[in-house]
Amino acid sequence: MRMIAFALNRVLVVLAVLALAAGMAWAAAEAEEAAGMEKEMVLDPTTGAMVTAPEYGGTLTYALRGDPPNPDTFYRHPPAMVAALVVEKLGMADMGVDRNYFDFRTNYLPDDIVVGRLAESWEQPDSTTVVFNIRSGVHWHDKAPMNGRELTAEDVVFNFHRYLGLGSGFTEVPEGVAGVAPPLTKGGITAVSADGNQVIFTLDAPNLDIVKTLLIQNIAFIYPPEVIMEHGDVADWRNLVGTGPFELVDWVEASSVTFNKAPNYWKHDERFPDNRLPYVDELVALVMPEPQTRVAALRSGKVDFIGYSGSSQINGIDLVESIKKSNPDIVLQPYSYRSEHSPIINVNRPPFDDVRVRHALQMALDIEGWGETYFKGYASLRPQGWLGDGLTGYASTWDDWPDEIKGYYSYDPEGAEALLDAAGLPRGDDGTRFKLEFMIGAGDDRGWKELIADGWRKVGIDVTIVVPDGAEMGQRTSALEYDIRSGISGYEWNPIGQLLHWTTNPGAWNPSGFADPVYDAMVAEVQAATTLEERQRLARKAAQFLVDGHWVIWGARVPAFSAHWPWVKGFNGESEAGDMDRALLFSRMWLDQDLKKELGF
Amino acid sequence: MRAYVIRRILLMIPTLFILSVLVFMSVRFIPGDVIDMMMQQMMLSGALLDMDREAFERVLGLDRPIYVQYADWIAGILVRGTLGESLMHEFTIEQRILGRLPVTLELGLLAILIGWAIALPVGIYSAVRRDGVADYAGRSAAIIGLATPNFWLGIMVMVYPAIWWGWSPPLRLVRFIDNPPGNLAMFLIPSLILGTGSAAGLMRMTRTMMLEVLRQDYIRTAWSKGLRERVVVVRHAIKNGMIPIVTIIGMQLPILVGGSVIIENIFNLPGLGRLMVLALQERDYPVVQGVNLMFGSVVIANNLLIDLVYASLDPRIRYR
Repeated sequence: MRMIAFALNRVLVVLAVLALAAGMAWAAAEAEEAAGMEKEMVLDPTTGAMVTAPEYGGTLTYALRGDPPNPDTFYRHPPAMVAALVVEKLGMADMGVDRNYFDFRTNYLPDDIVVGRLAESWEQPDSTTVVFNIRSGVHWHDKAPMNGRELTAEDVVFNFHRYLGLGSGFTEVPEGVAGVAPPLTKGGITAVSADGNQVIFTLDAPNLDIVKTLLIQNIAFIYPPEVIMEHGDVADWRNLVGTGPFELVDWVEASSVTFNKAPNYWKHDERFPDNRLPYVDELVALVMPEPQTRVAALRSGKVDFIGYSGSSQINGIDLVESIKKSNPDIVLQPYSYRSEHSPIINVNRPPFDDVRVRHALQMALDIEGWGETYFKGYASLRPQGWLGDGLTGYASTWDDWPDEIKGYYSYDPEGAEALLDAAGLPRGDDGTRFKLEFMIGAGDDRGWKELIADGWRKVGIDVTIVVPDGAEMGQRTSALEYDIRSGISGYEWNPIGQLLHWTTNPGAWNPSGFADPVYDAMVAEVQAATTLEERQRLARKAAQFLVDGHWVIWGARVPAFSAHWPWVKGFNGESEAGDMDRALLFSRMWLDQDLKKELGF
Repeated sequence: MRAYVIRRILLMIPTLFILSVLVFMSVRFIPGDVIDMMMQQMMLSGALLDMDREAFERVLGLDRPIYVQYADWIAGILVRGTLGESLMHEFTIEQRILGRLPVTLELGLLAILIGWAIALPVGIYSAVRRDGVADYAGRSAAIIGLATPNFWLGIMVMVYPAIWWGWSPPLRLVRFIDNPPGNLAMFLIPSLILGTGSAAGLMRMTRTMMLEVLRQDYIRTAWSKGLRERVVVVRHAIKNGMIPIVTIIGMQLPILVGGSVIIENIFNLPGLGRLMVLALQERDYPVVQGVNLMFGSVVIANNLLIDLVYASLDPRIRYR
């Protein structure tokens, strides 16, 4: 018996020693792994923040709001959700710029943010000639029929001939693509030719915008000439070959688009110049039209990123708050380039042709009070004109506005009632002054529109809200068959284009129906300006004219959000890398795969 | 029988003609057109707008009189064998329908099978065990199923598991030939939602029909002969109870195809429903016409099929 006890004792001791040794080995392995997992930190010069060093590899998955159009931007496809990853333009935004100077959380790129891409440099030997020097060492992807050959100036010329109908077999811009081509022709380009590595544009008149337009204009991608000559276009994604960071390898219609890293991409990361782009091996875009599905996919880790770069941004403060609560690890990055909460007035319908009525409609709204509560502190509430405050130099901002005008933008229901009385619109026996139909979009923020309607009701206006779908709204807008419609304001995009919207130009989108020769003359002066300073001064004057006329009721500028898991690195909330070139941002993101594992994905 | 079938097929010609006129005209009654939509989109996307509306109408053929547009569409189908091209995108309608059809068909068929698998046994069992616990449970479940909208259930399944457990259904389409289990995993939940919804009505109908049959004299005779319950129910009751149910099942096919519109959107399934929703939003007339014509043709063919199935189920029915 004692022998058995002794033996058992020994066995237990041996087991204890073995367990201790195993525990120590495990702890050592853990420590070793932890040491191995400790990431090297580097300084991101654009933000001044220390970040984990960029890593190569992995698959980045993001949500796309809708099935992208075919990849040939020639067919009036401004967003270029697919093309922007595969083909390139002459220029782009300088992604190496200090984010304190410009944070890219808007759509407008100031002139000094635009840099060369396929064009290494440019010059204007005279006021009607622009010469671009095409970068050497840029190669087409190694795919037939381009087979990795070097990009030439002739390739660029071929593409602009195609866009403008100016040669290489293209004699005109076909009808139907006219919606995108005119911005390029507005510079009065009469010829495009190549000379060595140079591309020479000849204009029929000086044009202040021409360099920027040719560098980043939203469709001006350089496509493979051989493919266009063989197939007529690049509408079939299988034929798409580019010089960009990714190659398009699969497209399941209305479901997913898959890109692989282009192994011979020429560009390096502006922030970390030793690193050749892109970082991820594979990029997968999942097409998800339903916002709730996109957010569910993010929450479950089925996508790493939703946001403006995939046109899948989150709209709605409640949803943002819900994500913060359920998934505190998810990084939410706001951006805003316009107010989508600012109603536009149709001045062709009395009594809205009376500026006193328009002022009264604004004064009846407690934008500050409601905005703080409703948008939970996220919205920018200080009134802006049609040109957003971010259009530095062009916009007429609140500080520039005369006191009298500022007064109309303050909440004052009694003042509003007095103005309506003065305009000959007294309350009737039932307390109603007049009827108003407020047309809003199906995807609009209904709650905010209800608040606005309620504000108007309180000053005696009988408001009915109608919600047509997009096409009907477009039709009613074109025909000016509405009183007030939901609209936009504080817009940060091409300032001249935005001012042109309100002219009597037949091609302009002027939803107020406002027509004033004085304003038309102002915009004509802006277009004719010969220096930037002169143009900005004249633009501010025209912008102030729009503020004074009060054709748009200021609502609030509420940000939309990009959202991503923390293992997505290298993204600082930017929304554009060129003109509608936002998908390009994916080439500068990398994945911290260890962090992903650590978070259980 | 053959003469009946031929007559029915010939009758389909005027029906299809009326259908084609209806689908052609109805979409044009909706306010706004594709150019309005383009303008709206370009404005919202911030693109510079310099659209010549008349030029676009010319390019898209919308400037022609409506009867010319109709004649061209019909000629395209009958002579050139094409349903036309999208106004908004660069594709032919038949190419797009063929691309999307497998998804919708798979979803619809799985939903039908799931619906049958639930409804028929539960309905039969409820009838056989009338007023028992199982009957009450089955009927209650059916009422809940009828009262629960598919789209609501779909959204709940998509939203809450993601919040609570960080889980969501598969959202990237996997082709069946590439990965059968992955494909079925993607279709399972949406099919279950559609199937349980359709099962509710079918279950109630099955129960009612079975109760009707179980009251018949020949069933009583079968019982009195001392046959086992299984033989009475399976051999004598079910076949006779199935005839009206075939009508319901037949009618479910087009409903499931149409009813999948919202479920396809929620579960990210690129089927005909999603194509239709987008085409309607964009006022892409040829796409709406093409898909509607196809749906309508399916319904007409389906009705003929149901009538023919009747004859095989009930020898008393003779077509002349």
